[in-house]
Amino acid sequence: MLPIRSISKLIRCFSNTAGVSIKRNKLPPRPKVSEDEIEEVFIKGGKWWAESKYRWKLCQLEELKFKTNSNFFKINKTNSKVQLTHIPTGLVVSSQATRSREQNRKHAREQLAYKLQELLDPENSRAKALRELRIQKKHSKVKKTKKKYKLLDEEKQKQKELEKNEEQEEMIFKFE
Amino acid sequence: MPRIPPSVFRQALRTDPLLVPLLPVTRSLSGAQAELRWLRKEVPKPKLPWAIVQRSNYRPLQYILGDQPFLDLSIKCAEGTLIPRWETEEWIARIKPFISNVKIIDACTGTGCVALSFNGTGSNIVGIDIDTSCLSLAKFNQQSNRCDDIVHWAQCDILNWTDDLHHVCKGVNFLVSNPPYIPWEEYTKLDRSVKNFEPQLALVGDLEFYNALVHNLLEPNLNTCDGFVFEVGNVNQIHHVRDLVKKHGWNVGYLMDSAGYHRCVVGWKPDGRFDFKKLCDFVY
Repeated sequence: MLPIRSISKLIRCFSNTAGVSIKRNKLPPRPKVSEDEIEEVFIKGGKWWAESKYRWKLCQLEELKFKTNSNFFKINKTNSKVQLTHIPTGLVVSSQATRSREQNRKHAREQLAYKLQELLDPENSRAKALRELRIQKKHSKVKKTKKKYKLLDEEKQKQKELEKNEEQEEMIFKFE
Repeated sequence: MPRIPPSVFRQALRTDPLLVPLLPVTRSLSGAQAELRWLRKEVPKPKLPWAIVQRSNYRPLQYILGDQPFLDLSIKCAEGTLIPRWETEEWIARIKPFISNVKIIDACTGTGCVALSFNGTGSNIVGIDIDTSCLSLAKFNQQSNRCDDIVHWAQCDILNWTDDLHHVCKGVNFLVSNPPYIPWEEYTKLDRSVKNFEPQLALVGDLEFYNALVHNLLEPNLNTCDGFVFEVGNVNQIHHVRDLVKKHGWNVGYLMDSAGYHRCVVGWKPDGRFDFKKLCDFVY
């Protein structure tokens, strides 16, 4: 029979408490969304317009409409907000991160991809890995500060002892 | 316009008191938050109150901050020139891959954003505008964005046919323009920030500009010119251009923008160097 101590050591070996460390350069790849599943809406554009496969048909419809009633003007506005809808799941993401609309479109797509991945495959998602990486960094930071202050405290105590010793020596010296 | 509920004002006051003057302009809390974020980021701290007062008086954000991102360029904006719009950005991004090594003329340049965004296609670009202050701004933008292609600027009035204009446009292969296309009736209904601060010269106009573009720029150069793209505001303008160009046997189509409006009229020679048939949303 093995002694209890050795068993506990073995268990510690196989347990996960030591943490599977995540490395910055070995994260899961960035998720992507296919353009066919996205519906894009520009909020201040007045009338919304779907970027979908029915675009051609919609154009022909418009053509018919304008033959009967052609008083239709648009108003130029400077707005960069973008809203995306993922059609199969109904997820909605909007972005107003920058002043450039093109960049906002990219940003919104990225955001949507992250959300989707977390919804469909939460175990191996990049968002989860990033979150864990952040927690890991926080822990290591706390560890470092603890170590630092421990060292500092030890030094202080040593100094105090030294001072005490010196004082005692001085006292002894005086008495002599 | 529906009024903003007081609860939104209260919420804004709770999150950040500086949001309150921006709310009537942006008309939404998220918009106000975004604008305040951009102002905080780009305006130096002592100037921030001034900037917020300016914005609450409906001055466009681009004039306060001084620039606007346009594709991969950063375009300087100043009062007296039109701010580049995302609609223009969109159609340029779609058309740019079709163009290489040609002479491009950009009529009604303004800030020069259209002309400068064709940089990198190996083209010879000429920007035309009636306003000299616009042209100096365009020159500034050319220098600040470091253009490799040959870009020239010329001060011409496209509405009147002159020798200058004839000389500038000689041998053009591709015509682009973002002319003033908002009719007067529509102009009075525009947003306050557009109506009060952006130049009327760059906004108000109708079919006369398309007449001028076709008669003064396109028709004298029918031998060399192979295609054109003009931004439009409504379908009437597309039909008008189509009727003007059809007699020369050109193909005409149009582009829609992602807000669902008719945005561009595109024309090309049947046996020329451009074939925009794949690009167009509708071909006549």
